[in-house]
Amino acid sequence: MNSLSEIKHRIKAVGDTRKITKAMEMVSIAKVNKLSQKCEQYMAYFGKMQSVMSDILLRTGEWVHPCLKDKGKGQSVFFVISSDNGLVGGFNHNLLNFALSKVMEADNPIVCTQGSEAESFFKKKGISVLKRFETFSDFSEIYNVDKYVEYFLELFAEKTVRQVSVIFSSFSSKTGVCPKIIKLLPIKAEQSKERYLYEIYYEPTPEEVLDGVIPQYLSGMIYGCLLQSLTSEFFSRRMAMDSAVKNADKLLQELSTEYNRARQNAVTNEISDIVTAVNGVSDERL
Amino acid sequence: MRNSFMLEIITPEKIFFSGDVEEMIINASSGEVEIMHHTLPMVTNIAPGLISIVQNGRKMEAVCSDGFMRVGDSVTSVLVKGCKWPYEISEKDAGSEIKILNERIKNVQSVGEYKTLKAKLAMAIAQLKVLHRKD
Repeated sequence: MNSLSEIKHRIKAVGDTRKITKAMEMVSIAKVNKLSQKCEQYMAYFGKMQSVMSDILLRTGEWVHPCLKDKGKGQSVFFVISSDNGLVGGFNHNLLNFALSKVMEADNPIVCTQGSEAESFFKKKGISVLKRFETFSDFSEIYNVDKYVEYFLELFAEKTVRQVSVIFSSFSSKTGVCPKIIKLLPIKAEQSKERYLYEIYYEPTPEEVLDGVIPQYLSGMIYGCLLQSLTSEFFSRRMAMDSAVKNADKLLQELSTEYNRARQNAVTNEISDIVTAVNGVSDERL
Repeated sequence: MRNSFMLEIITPEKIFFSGDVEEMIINASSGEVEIMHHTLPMVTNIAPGLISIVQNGRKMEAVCSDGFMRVGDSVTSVLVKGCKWPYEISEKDAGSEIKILNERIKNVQSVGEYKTLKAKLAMAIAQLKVLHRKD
């Protein structure tokens, strides 16, 4: 059995760890609430943007923008969004394994990452990372996404790149966290029943309008993916911290039982020592 | 209202405005555009600036950032990155943002960053404009 001071030291250490995990859990709960609300509000914008975009594409007719062209053969770019920090349970593990399977399926993959976890994972697997983007936080605005769009449009303009996809963790309050892949480029119109009901007029020209609309559409898509991924990260961290707090509670209970047992043992030993000593003294007097 | 149309102004943060309006004047990339009932269906880019809306004969003004607009048969949708009513604007904040953006524009490293900063600057200037117009 461990000594009393050793057990006391362990109780203090576990208690301190519990305090940290509890604080992290509370922070994650607050962040999840804030971000899931932001996600819900964003979905209105995202849904409208998608319907407007598919409407524009369906009515554009024969005219084709370079971002709408299917190039046939070429390289595939994968933009993998992971977390920067650990302590998120199986969040990165599930996402990165899903991303790896998608990357391995492609012929000539190019990998771009967001978050240090994804970068170190692909480096360990021997896959080079072309670009690593800066951290995206819950304070980031949609303007912060413009640099991503600029980079991917430049990459797609190269003849060798066939498509650009985003791999991220989607979040829904019903299904929880699950990895997902979305094709960013080339942009494809969704099938709609009401085709060519009326001609659409572009002010000033179709080229200029689509040159402005497409980057905005892409920044909206990427912003949505980053927002969902961030919400998933905090949701996973909250779950991980919740189980860590429960484990710490269990460990503390076990340790306090062990401590009480050891203390009782020490007291019993002391009493028996005293009784033995008293008996010895009384024997001497007799 | 017979001569009205449905207008939606949506930003990533919220549905900024949704309702039947008689008229809307917005700053498109090629100049100011006035949208009324039965305007030809069209798509255009929006430059940062003022939006004025007439609802039930009452004129309202707001400041919007860059985005795009689709005028449909029944609904006109304006999708912008940000939009503010005059009472949401602080002159002090807008002024300090202009100063910061002017400094950042001097050290830009890419065309995309320059465009983003220019759009933010135009939005901040439009905010000051609408405040002074109100006075």
